[in-house]
Amino acid sequence: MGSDVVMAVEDLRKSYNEGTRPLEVLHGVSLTVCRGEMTLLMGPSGSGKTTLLTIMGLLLRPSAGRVSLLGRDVTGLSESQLPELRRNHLGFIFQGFNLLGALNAAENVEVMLALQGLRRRAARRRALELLDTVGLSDRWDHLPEALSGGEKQRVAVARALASPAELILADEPTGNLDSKTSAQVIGILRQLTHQENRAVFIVTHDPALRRLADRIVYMRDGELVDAPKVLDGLAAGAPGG
Amino acid sequence: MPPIARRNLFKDKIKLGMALVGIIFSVGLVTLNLGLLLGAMRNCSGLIDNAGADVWVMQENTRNLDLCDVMTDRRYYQVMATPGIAWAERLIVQFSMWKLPDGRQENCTIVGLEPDSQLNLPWQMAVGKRSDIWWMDGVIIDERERVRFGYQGRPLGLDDRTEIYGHQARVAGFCRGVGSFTTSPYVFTSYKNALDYCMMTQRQTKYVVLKAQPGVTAEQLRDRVRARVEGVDVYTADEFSFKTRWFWMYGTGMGLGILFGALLGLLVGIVIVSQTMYSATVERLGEYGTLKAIGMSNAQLAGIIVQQALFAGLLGYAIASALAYFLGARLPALNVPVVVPPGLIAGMLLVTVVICVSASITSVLRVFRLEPAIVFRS
Repeated sequence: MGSDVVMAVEDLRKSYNEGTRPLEVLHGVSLTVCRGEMTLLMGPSGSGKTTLLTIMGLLLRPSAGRVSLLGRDVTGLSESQLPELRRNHLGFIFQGFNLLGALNAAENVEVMLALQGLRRRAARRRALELLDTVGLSDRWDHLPEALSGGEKQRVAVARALASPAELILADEPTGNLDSKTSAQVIGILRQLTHQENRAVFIVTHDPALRRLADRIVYMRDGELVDAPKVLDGLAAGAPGG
Repeated sequence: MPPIARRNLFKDKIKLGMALVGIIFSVGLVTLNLGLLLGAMRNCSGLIDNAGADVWVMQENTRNLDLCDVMTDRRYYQVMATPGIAWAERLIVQFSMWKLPDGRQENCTIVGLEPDSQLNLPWQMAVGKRSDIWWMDGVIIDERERVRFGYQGRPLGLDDRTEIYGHQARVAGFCRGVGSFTTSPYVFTSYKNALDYCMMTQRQTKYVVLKAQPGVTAEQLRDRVRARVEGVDVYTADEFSFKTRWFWMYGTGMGLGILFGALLGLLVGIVIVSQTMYSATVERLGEYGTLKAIGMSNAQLAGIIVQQALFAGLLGYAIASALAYFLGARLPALNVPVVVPPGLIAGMLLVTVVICVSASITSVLRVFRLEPAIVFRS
């Protein structure tokens, strides 16, 4: 399993300066994320889930601890080295979709492909394939403002798929979607996890996703709480989140 | 890469409009100010540049064409004896007063030409011929002055009679595009009449202008005259042209004033475009954050912002140039000495690029400072 580990965080701490004294929001979090696994991170608001996700996305530096991506310690890398790692190894899906408003669906996907170095025509071809994968082949030329929430999120998923990312980080991907659309999006992510052997790490409050996850980690007050117990509780139908 | 810059620009048409107004205003103002400077400079020395003489001789310590003291016409004969002269003429350029039919007076600058003058003055005719000044107190004035020198709404016409310093004059023709830098238009007439119109005696003159023989350069002829004749200033036409331009443009501060106006236009343009670009950038910070998060480098992001400014700039430049070209063609008819040559319009492209790149700096810095972590904070 060791070679399947995509990301590992060890004893991760993060503090923010709140007035005159530092406020620690992560208290020594350790976690591994493996290929072919869909992991859910659940927990109450303010528990530090988003901070952990942001650090795992190499968008925020931890105050202490270590972040490894594909076995390489990336904690101390410079700002100029990080974009290349994010571009080639990480994919992102956001609660607010974060599409570029002036570009149509296909172009939003093409941005990611262009960052991988694909030329315009090849990028367009691949973008249309990816939109087809998420069931949006007939909406490729629509601007985000003309798409529904579910369609926007599927474009965002297609954009994440456009990168060769081993790890896809999703922040409340179903937060703005109805239950039917949520199931569609999560179905696509599940397929991605198992067919393409990628790792998908989802921060969510949505209890409906529990049954689809391969693994669930629970966070409270900046710490991962006894995950097996939580899982047992969840399996027994105990309320979470 | 999809055309993010272009799409962003055309997505928000109000911001695009504001940026365009800034660019058009700025580029237009700079173009017209520089055109005014060029036009004023041409007018300053137009008489020297178009006369066709190689060397100009005048009373010593003369500062420019329009302000020259009289000198004895013996200098003419002394100069004439210099070897290497193809032809030499006396020339009068002197302020005078033109009496309008209602008794009011207007300033004018008399240009007195010798009979059968070889000088190319006036250099362009609209009505009549140059030789018409030799008949019956004939004078030629620029066609743009017809209204100003007319009477009760009737423009000045051919054969209209007037008085210049109490001496009869008759409008024998109109020239075109012959402007002076001062508000006193050139009035071309015969040397003999000019003496009267300027209250000068037959023993006085203003300039002696020379044409060098083939094989003799203007500089050689200038040096020969300097060596032979004392108490005079001797310049080649180019030197005297430059001296006159320098006096009016920079000696009086007028040129600096115009340049300052151009600089102000440039700064106003940069500020307007900069504000517009900045506000457009701030509105899309989330999108820039997303691009950063998915791996776009700062250089690529800067490229998008600068491209956006350049697109707006080129569009604004095209409109401003067309406008400036149009005004440049029309304003001289209203006696505004604006010249907008193609070279100036081409040069303004560089100014536009400077405006756009400068205006992008604050936006680029804002995006550089942007933390991509904002993508998870919404």
